[in-house]
Amino acid sequence: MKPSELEAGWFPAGLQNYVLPKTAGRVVIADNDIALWRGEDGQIRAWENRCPHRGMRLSYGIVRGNTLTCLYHGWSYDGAGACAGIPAHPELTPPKTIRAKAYRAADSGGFIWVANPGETTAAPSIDGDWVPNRSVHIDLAPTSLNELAEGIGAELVSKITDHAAIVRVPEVKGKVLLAFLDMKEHGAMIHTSVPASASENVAIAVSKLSTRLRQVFKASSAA
Amino acid sequence: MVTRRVSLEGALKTESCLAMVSHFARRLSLSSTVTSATPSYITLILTGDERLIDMFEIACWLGPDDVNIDTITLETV
Amino acid sequence: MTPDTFTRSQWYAIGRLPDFEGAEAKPVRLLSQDLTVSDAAGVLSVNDADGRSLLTQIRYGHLWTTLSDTPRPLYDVPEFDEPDRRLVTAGGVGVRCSGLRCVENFLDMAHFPFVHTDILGVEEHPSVESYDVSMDAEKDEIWATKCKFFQPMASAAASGGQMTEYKYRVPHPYSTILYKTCPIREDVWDLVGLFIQPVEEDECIVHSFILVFDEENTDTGLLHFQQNIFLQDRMILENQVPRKLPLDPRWELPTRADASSIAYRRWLKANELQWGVALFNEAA
Repeated sequence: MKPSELEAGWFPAGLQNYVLPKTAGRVVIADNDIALWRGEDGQIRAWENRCPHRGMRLSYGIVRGNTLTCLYHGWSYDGAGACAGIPAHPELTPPKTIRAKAYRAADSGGFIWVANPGETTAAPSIDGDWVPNRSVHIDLAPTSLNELAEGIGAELVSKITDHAAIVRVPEVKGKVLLAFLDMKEHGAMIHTSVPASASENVAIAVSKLSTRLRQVFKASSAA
Repeated sequence: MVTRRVSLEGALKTESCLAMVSHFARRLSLSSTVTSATPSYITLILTGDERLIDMFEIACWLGPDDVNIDTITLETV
Repeated sequence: MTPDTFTRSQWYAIGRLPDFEGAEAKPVRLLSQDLTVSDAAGVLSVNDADGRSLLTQIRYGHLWTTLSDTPRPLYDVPEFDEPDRRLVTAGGVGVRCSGLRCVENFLDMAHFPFVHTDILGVEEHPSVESYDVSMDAEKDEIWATKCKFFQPMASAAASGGQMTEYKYRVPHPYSTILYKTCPIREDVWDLVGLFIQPVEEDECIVHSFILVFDEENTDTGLLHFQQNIFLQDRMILENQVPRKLPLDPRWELPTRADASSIAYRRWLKANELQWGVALFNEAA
């Protein structure tokens, strides 16, 4: 069975607070169904969303300490993805070869980033302290970062990846971190972060960009 | 740690069955050596945790999509 | 894909009698085919999309039909003829996965402490002891026997935890019956079962029933107990990947506790079932 593969590079999977410590969630990136979770250590993990036992989605799992427990039969996995216990057979010590497939995952700039297990480049490093702002779904995926920026009249300040950049937006003081996750025929998710030093008004103004984004990247009613 | 001789019998599609056998030996951290492989009979020597060998037996008993395994036998070596 | 012979030659429950009272070409979908059910002065008939009249029978509290002209005989469950047993049926509940997955989930005990917490199992007692699996070659059925599990509340009638003994029977690719120790009478079994109506390869309607000795609980009480359990399972079933049933073990990692499911899949494979199956190499 061919494992799912993302394209090379790092993908903005969501805001950092999309997955709080001791919780699990889910993101689909280019047909890769991914379970995201944080242990009580706050470390973000991204795993193939399928328990190796019988295929239950791990995103429904329970986080205890720094392990994720599958909801179906309670198989537990440590932070690195290795199976830590099989409740039906308590006397059995699972070998580390029984494991959830782990993607690379990192927090940066207020976002959760995900890449293939074999990704060789480092996760995006974004200067300064950033605070997650908002995620919004739009109907039409932009074909590029430039198209996304132009759609809201933003000026690119520095490119982070093909899907993320620090931008300046008219009527908003200061910089904004803007990223998109292409969902193809399902549109796209747009994520924004603001500098930690930004005022409440700036945060609100950035949050309101979502209205403009939805209007600009709206599916035509003639479709 | 134990060693067992595992025999699979049936209308085995040798290639599929050998792929299956090596897949599970890897997943269960068992060392395995195939000692014979014919269209109706595959034997291998497995070494590892007894309970993991038990899992190996249950897993292989189903056989790949295109194969019906008639019997799996385990013998102590 | 058109259903394979094994799938097509079976009888299928499509609802309870009151569900079809006064029906005028009421649509029902079975094995990816649109059928209609009509009630003519109390006589139910089933027709396919070409207007062909299909065989029907009323059994076990349900209306059964088949696409075949020479179907396999419907299996026997003699307990349905026993007086003073109570039959409670739940009606059809849709599930977005192959009906084969529903059978397999029903046979599984290892999930009791996690999915049916504090009802059918507790985390402190998660161990699944070895049980026996056998095939009745004459009737072509699968059995799992000597199954035991510690249960805090095994049924609506039981009070307090007990070691419950189970037998599971699969007499049909889309039917499964559980026989469990009756809490109020010795030497008899209570029955819980599923008659599954396969709608598409990855979608089904589950008609569940309980057939028990119980003097205390109302029908509603008995029903709610089972329905609650079923809805807990449905959440799992609709989030299991793939939705169709794998018949190659390399998708998964079964343990000894999964022996009944493996026996079930082996039996399906031996009967050359193909409809509703997820092929390993298709995933590539």
